[in-house]
Formats: sequence, C-alpha cells, structure tokens
Amino acid sequence: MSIPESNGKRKAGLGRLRRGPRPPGSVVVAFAFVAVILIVGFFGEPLVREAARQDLTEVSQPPSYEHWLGTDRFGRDVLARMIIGTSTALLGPFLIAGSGLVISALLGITAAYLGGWVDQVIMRWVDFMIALPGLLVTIVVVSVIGGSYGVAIIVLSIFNVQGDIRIIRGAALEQKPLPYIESLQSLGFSKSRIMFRHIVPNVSPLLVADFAIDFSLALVALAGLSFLGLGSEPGSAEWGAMLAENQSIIFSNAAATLGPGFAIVLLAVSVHLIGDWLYDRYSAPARLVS
Amino acid sequence: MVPIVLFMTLAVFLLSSLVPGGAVAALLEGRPTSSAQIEFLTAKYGLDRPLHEQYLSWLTGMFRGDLGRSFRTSQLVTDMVGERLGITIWLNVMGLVLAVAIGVPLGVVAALNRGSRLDRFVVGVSIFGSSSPAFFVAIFFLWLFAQNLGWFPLYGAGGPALWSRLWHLTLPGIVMAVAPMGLIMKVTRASMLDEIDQDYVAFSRARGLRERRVILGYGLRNALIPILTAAGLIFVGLLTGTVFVERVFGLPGLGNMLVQAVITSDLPVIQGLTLIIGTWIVVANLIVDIMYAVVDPRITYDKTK
Amino acid sequence: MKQVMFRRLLVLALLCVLPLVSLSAAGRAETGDDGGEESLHLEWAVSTSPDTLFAPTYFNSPIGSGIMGLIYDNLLVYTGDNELQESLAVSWEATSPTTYRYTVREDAVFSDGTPVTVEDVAFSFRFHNDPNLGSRQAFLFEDVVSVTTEGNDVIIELAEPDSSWKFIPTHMGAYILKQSHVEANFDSYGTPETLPIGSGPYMVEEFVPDSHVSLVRNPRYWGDPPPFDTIRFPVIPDDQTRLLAMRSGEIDGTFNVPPGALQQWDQVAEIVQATAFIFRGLTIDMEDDPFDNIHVRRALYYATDRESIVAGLFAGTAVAATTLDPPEMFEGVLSDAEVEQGYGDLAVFEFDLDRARQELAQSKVPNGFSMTINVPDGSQAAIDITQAVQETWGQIGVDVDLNLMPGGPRFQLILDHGPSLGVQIIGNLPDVPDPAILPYQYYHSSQAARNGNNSSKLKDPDIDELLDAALTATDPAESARLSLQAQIEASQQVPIIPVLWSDFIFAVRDGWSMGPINGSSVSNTFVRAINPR
Repeated sequence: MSIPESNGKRKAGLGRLRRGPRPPGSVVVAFAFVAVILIVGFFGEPLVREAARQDLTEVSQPPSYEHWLGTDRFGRDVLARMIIGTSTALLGPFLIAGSGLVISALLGITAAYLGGWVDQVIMRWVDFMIALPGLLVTIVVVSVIGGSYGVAIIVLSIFNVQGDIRIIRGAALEQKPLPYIESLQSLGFSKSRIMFRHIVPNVSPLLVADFAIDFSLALVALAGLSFLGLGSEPGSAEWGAMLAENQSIIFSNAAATLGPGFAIVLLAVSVHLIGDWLYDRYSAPARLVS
Repeated sequence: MVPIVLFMTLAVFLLSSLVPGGAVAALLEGRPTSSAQIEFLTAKYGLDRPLHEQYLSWLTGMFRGDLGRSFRTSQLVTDMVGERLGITIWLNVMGLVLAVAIGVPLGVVAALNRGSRLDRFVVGVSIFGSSSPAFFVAIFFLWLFAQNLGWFPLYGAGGPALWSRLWHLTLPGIVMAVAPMGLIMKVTRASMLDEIDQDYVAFSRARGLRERRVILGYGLRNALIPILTAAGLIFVGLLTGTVFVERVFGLPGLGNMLVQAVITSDLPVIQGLTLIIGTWIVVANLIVDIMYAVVDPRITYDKTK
Repeated sequence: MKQVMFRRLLVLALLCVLPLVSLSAAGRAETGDDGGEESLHLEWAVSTSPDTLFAPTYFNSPIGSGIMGLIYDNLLVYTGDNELQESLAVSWEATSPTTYRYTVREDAVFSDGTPVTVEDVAFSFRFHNDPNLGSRQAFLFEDVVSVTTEGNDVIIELAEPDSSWKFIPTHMGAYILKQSHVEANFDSYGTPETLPIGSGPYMVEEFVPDSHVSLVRNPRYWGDPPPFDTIRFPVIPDDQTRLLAMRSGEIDGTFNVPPGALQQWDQVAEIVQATAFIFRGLTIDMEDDPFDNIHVRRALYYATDRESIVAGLFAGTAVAATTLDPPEMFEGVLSDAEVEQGYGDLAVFEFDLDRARQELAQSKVPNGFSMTINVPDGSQAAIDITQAVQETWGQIGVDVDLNLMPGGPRFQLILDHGPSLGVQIIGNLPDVPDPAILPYQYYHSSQAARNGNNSSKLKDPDIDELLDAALTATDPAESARLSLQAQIEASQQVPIIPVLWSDFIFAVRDGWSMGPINGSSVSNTFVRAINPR
C-alpha cells in the first residue's frame, strides 16, 4: 500500500490523465455541476431576461410557483438573476485564474530554467508580493479608485499570480535535472523551445490544478469585495453582490441571499474538488519520458 | 523587511492622494459649505502642501510615535489603534489556534485512516471550509448559534471582565477558524500521506518499530514544514477574514476601522493601519521562520524558500 | 522530539497569553448596572459610531443629535408637537428685525458643578465664526454680526433679517458649551480623550468609538429629571445583527430601521416615525446637452415611477414628493386651503411611459441616449432610487450607467460645479424647518457656482427675487408664501425630479410606546417620549 506500483507505460503530462482510474463519485458530481453552470452561463441569459425585470409591486416575496426562489428588493426574480449572473461568476474568476496560469507558467518556468539573476529578480518580487494581504490592498485600492469589476479583477490578478509562480517554479526545477532535458539541450534545441514545448506539457497537470484552485479562491474573493460594497456596479446580477444586497431581506425571503450564497460555495467547492483530484493524479511519483 | 513596510505606506499615501479633494469632500458631504471652510479644512490638514512634504511629515511623526489624528473623529490614531488592537489580535490568534488545534489532529487521523469514512468526512469538511466565504459563514453561524440556539451573545465585544470579553469573541473566533482549519486539515493530511509513503517509514516498520510511533514522531515532524508554510499564508489570510467577521458581529476591531477609514477617506487612519498591517506581516513571517528553525534545527533560513 | 514538542507548545502558549494581556489592557472600566437598586436603563442601538461628541467637528445626523442632545442644552428646543419651547433660555424676543435677546436661566449648572454663565452662552454662539477653529456648524451663524451680553441676557445681532434665525438656537450647532473647558482642550474635545461637559440631563460615562457610548444621569440637571438612570448606545452596524438584537430583546430600540426590512422590524418592535422633512430627488443640469431641452427633462420626470419607488423600496416610510418642501413644513404657518392650492399649482408629471416617449420624440434625441449617474456608495437610498430609475428610463431608450463612487469624491464633483453635471441624485434635509432653506440652496442663481448646491443651474431672476424676499421676511407666513411661490414657478422649468419625502424611522421595544418626536430636535424629545411598560 505504501510503495506505489509502477506501470510499464507512462505518458507525459495530460496524456496520463485520460487513461487513469475513474474519479471518485464526488468529483464526477463536481464535473457535472460545473458543466451545468457552464451551459447556463453561455446560454442562459436571453431566456430569463424578462423575468429579471424590476417589479416594485412584488418586492421581497418568498419562493412561490411563479418565482422559484422568490423575488428580491426590487421585485426581480432571484433565480433569473442568478442565471444571468452565472456568466459574470465564471468570467471574473476565470480571468484571474487564467492570467495566473499564463503569467506563472511564463515566469515560473523562466525563473527555474534560466536561473541566475533572472531567477533572483523574479523570486524577490514574488516574496515581496506574497507577504502582502491581497484582499486588504484590493479593498483600499478599489475604494479609493471607485468600485468597479474591472479594477477588482486586475488587482486580484496581480495578487494571485505570486503563489502560482512559486509552485510552477518548484515543479520546473524538478524537471530541470532530468535526463530528457539534457538530451534536448545536446540536440541543440533553443531555450525557449525547451521551456515551452517540453517543460510546459510536463507540468501542465499542475498548472490545471492550480487554475482550478485559483478560480475557486478568486470566486470567493470577488464575492467578498461585493459584500463590502466594492467591486461591482449596483444592480449588476453578480452573485456576491446579490448575496450582500439581499441580506437585508433574509427574514422575508431567505432564498434571495442563500441562493447566490450556496451557488458560490457549490461552484467553488466543485472546482476545488476537480483541482484537488487533478493535483493528486499528478503528484504521484512519475518519471517522464519525452 | 522594513523597506517593505515603508513602501506600502508610501504606496497607500500616493493612491489616496490621487483622489481629487477626496478627504475634504468626504468630510463635507451633503452639507452647505463655504469656500472659506473648504480652504480652512484643507489648510488645517495640510492637504495643500506638496505630496512629498506631507508624506515626510507623516514619516517623521511616526518615528516620534505620533500617527496624527483622524480626520473624522480627531482622535489620536495611536489611541484608536490601541483600543482595537486587542480584539483583532485575539480573533486572529483564536482563529489560528483553533484551526491548528483541530485541523492538525484531524488531518493526521485522516491520513492514518486513508480511504475511511472519517477520511472522506475530513476531506469534505476541509474543502467546504476553505471554499466558504467568511461573511457567509459569519451570518450563518450568527443566525444559527446566537439567534436560534441562543448559545452565544449576538454582538459587541462584551463587558469589562475578561471572561465576558472572551465569551463575546468565542463565536467570531470560531468563524475565523473555519477557512484556515479547512486549509490546515488538507495540507496536514496531504503531507502526512506523503510522509507515510516515504521509504523511511517502510524501513522503520521493517526494523520492528511501532508504526504509529514512527509516523507521529518522525512523519509529523517532517510534515510540519508544509503546514508551517500554510500557516504563514493563513496569518495573512486571517487579517482579511477579520474585516468580514468584525463587520457582521459588530466588533470594534482594526478591520472595521479600516473599512470605515477607507469609506470616509480618512487618510491618517489609513496610513496608520497600513503601517500596522505591514508590521504585522513582517512579524508573522518572522515567527513562522523561527518556528521552522524550532521544528527542525537542520533547516537553515535559505532552505525554507 | 519531546523537546521540540515542548518548545512548540511554549511558543503557542506565548501567542495566547500576549493577546489576553493586550485584550484586558484595551478594555476600559465600565460601572454598568448596580444590581442593587432598581435602576432604569435604556439600551438604544445605533448603526454608526458618532464620529465625535463635539458638534463643531461633526455633521448633523439623528445619531449625533440623538446622543449629544442628551448631554448639552439648547437655549430653545422643539417639543414633539413641533412647538418652539424655552429651555436654557427662560424667555426671548426679537427686539428688532435683526436683533434677538435671550434671557438665560440662572439655575443651570454644568455636570461638573460649575454654573452656566452668560459668557458661556455668548461663547457658544460666537466661536463658530472664528475662522481659526473651522467649525463645521459655522454656516448657521454666517449672518451673526455680534454677540454681546447684558446682565443675564445674550443679545445677538444679525447682518440682515433672517426668517430662519429663530429656529437656529434649537440646532445642534447651538449647543451651550463650557467655555473654559472647550478652550483648554479644543483639539481633542469630544473624543474619548476629552469627554464633553454639558448642562443637559445626562453626562458621558464612556465613549468607545465603534463600540458604544454610555451616559449616566446628570445629578445636577436643572430641569425635570429624565426617565432613565443610565443609557447605553451600542454600535451595531450590520442591519441583520441589529434586527436580531431587537428580536432577542438585547436592545430596547434603535434610530436606524432600514426601510427595506420594515416588515421584519414591524414584527419584532414598534415602529415610530419622527417628522424630518427629508427630501430625495434628482437634479438635472439645464445647461448640459441633451438636458437643456425641456422636453427631455419632462420625459425623464414622466419616466420616473415615484409612487412605485416609494411603495416598493421605502415600504410606506416615505411619500412621493412633488417639490422640495413637504406640505407639513407649512403646517401652522399657512392655512390648509392655501397649502392645498399652492401644491395644486405645482407642475407634476405622474408616471406615464407613453407621455415620456412623446416628450422625448419632440426633442432632438427621440430614440433616447446614454448617460451616467454617479451614486454615493454609502447611501442605500441613493443606490435604490437610481437603480429603479435606471430600469424605467431604460424603457424609453435612455440607457443609464450607474457609477458607484465613494461619497466624498462624488460630492466633490457636485461642489466643483463643472460644466456637465447631468443628473445628480441628492438627499437633503433642512437644518431647521424653514421652507425657504432648500429652495434657496437648489434654485437660487447665487448657488449655481462652486461649492453651491444648485446643480440644475437654474438662473431665473424672478425666482431669485422671490427667494431673497422669503429669506429676509420677518413674518413667517409671508416668508412661507414666497418660498412656495418660488417652488411653483421653478417646477414649470423642471430643474429637478422630486422623488420622495420621508421621516426618520425609529423602532422601540414591542409593548412600549413612544410619544411624538420631532426629527429636527431628536434627543430633547426622544428619551422623554419613551414609555416603558
């Protein structure tokens, strides 16, 4: 049980995953949930636009046949707004995690492979930024400049990147002494080619796992900003904003705040589960052949 | 380390000065005003001096222990911080201690019983914990424990007696611990699993040493490194959690003070808090580094990177 | 290994002890209830911590005047029935259109035992005009030329007749201060460092910003003993938590009931309204394209569903407005018939999307246009109103982008009085119930300048004349008539879209009741108005 068996065949990076054992039940559910959210996010909005209109004669109604999750303070159907908000809920964290992915791959692998002063400069920057409480700085910046989704995303992206850089660099460092790198070098491949056509695929599961976890954290961070009243335009159907906005009617219609709240938690948990599962798959010892 | 803190205060100062007339307008909002009054307030707070002069005078004041007075309340910033520091520190420490005291043992137990129901339960809790927004947890716990079950007081920081203050901060402290606990559980479990898989455990078993003892003795100690790394991140994360928890539970702490100051463009308070936060982080990192050395004397400073 | 564990435990223990020490050090002594005798205590929640307990460094709000009014005295106060009543002054009269003489009572004593002298009273009126002190209440005393004393009388001389002066002594800016105490501690007055000394029914025992203010009965108070022995104002910013505290009986009442949650509060407490003459509405920059066309302005007014806003978002705590001043402000000054007639003459455009589109069609932007409204992030009411407006204006083709900003910079833009002010959301209440105040601020051409509130840029000499006359008329009826006339004429040009008038909403424990309260003079009436069962 404690010594991992070795297969005859091992494929590099993501290729391995397609052949692996089936994921546990919870991860399957997570995948399904994320798939649903993605579909709703892409196609849902036009379907519910009418229902999400204001109707000041029907404010704060509890769930009913007409409004499955009731209405909010402006008489808007909560479920409809949640569906509209799906695309934003996906977009913001996606951008943050995505930029984290790209930048950390770039900088992390570069730092690991090139070493020397490049590495020093990058790591000093990372150390400095990691020390800062990202959300607090975001709060200060966003309140000074003015609440806006775009600003929040940019600032959160900046703070997200550092942890990833460290992790990717660590993984790339593990790759560096491996035989295949040396053979590629002796074959005369350029540095950038080695870095990006060979190292990247081998650390890609880690990148994907990181992406998932970053996504999850970014979702929660954005919701936190909205809770404080920063980082989104009033009236926008953003889950975090809805959670905060409808808190005041929790006793008339608890669904108005619990709905978006649970949506955030469930999406964050699902993506997190997927990310963890991917990470577990990758972190089992693997010696790679290119 | 110190330059980092100073850099932070400079950055915040510059950012705040970007907002045109912000501080003075914030003080006057909605009220009839006269230009004379606006000029007076601007002069009084030295907002018409060149930026570098303003910053330098703040800096020199800081070295004397004077962080100025709040624009909003005219209270000494140092006084305001002093009143609130205890609560915020307590929340953070309680959060961390609970997270570690519960998270580590559970993580270890889960690792030792990999695949069991307990293990899956722990994994589930850790994922939900670290994915739940702190304010959601706060509201939910407040509603459930304080309001419905009546186990805890609803708001405020409690009376003069120490036990009363502790009691009022218990539920908020628990809320603070939820997310870090999730993280610690997960990291503990993961690194323990790594250790268990290591060769030396197999060898020790072969030599007849009791497995449990080996794992807890050597495995845990080695596993502590990643846990400490996580703890360092948690120190920083706790500060953020404080903002939400203090707001929901109505606690007069630094988090609430920061949000208020930012909303009202209260520059001296924002500056002062940036200084505190920066110092806090430096100290926290230092403590974590010391703990590394305490845990394993073999580890030198460089190796912790 | 044991050594390592021991060391780890030691470090953890240290981490726990340190904050305990700091925690107890940070706490302040609080005497609280005796437990022995039957002492009557009031626990009254507030949603924000008062910035300070010193009026000159503070702005008007029910919380501020609610708490401070219990500590300090005024020469005159409002009763719950909106009557002007002597308090620290035993009598007063206007000896000329510009001179007011107040006779100060001789038995008033500050909470530290020293008597309230005429010099203290004179000082309290005089020092606001000292530019070196930067009093934020200075605007109330702009017209004051001199403050002199004669025996037990204080004589105040104004530059010109001012119809609103007689209300000024009731204002929080006119609290009577102890001169020597203020002068000795000016920089820190009103902070926990220097607790204020007043001659009111209560004294401050503790002021812990962001936590609470506790007051205790002033044993030397000259007037009727107040009903409660101790009062504590806990600061509970979160609306939910405050509601839960009300429900569980931990608090006896609060100043702040969020309108959106009125139903819930109604279930757990008695809701009380205090007349406040709060006005909320939208100003339209008449010099800014495309708003310079009256059809566009009318279209926007038609497209604003004021009734639904009031019903849906303010749950009956507000009333759809038709101009700046609510009709209640004229009660007792003009006859009901005159008020009804006047309000009937106002140009009002009730919600009608078709008419809105017709108006818009007559302008050069028949298909609508895009615009931005700046919204102060601290005002829930402003956020709500602009969101509702965004929805209905969108239906006639006017796409509104809401730009959330911190309150300070947003207001700065208004004060800067730039060329394109567009539509601004405003909320205001007059400092004293004088119907001439708001119209002057929003309609007079002199206020259409830097640091003025006339963001509509209405510049009409006829209206200016009416307002000038209203402000200097000494007969209150005449003044009221003129200001109503000014509002009627202004409404024809649609410089603003009035949205609502509202009162302050308080909540008090179920089973208790509250007598009438005057919103402009909250504290003098609110504590005495509470009838605990």
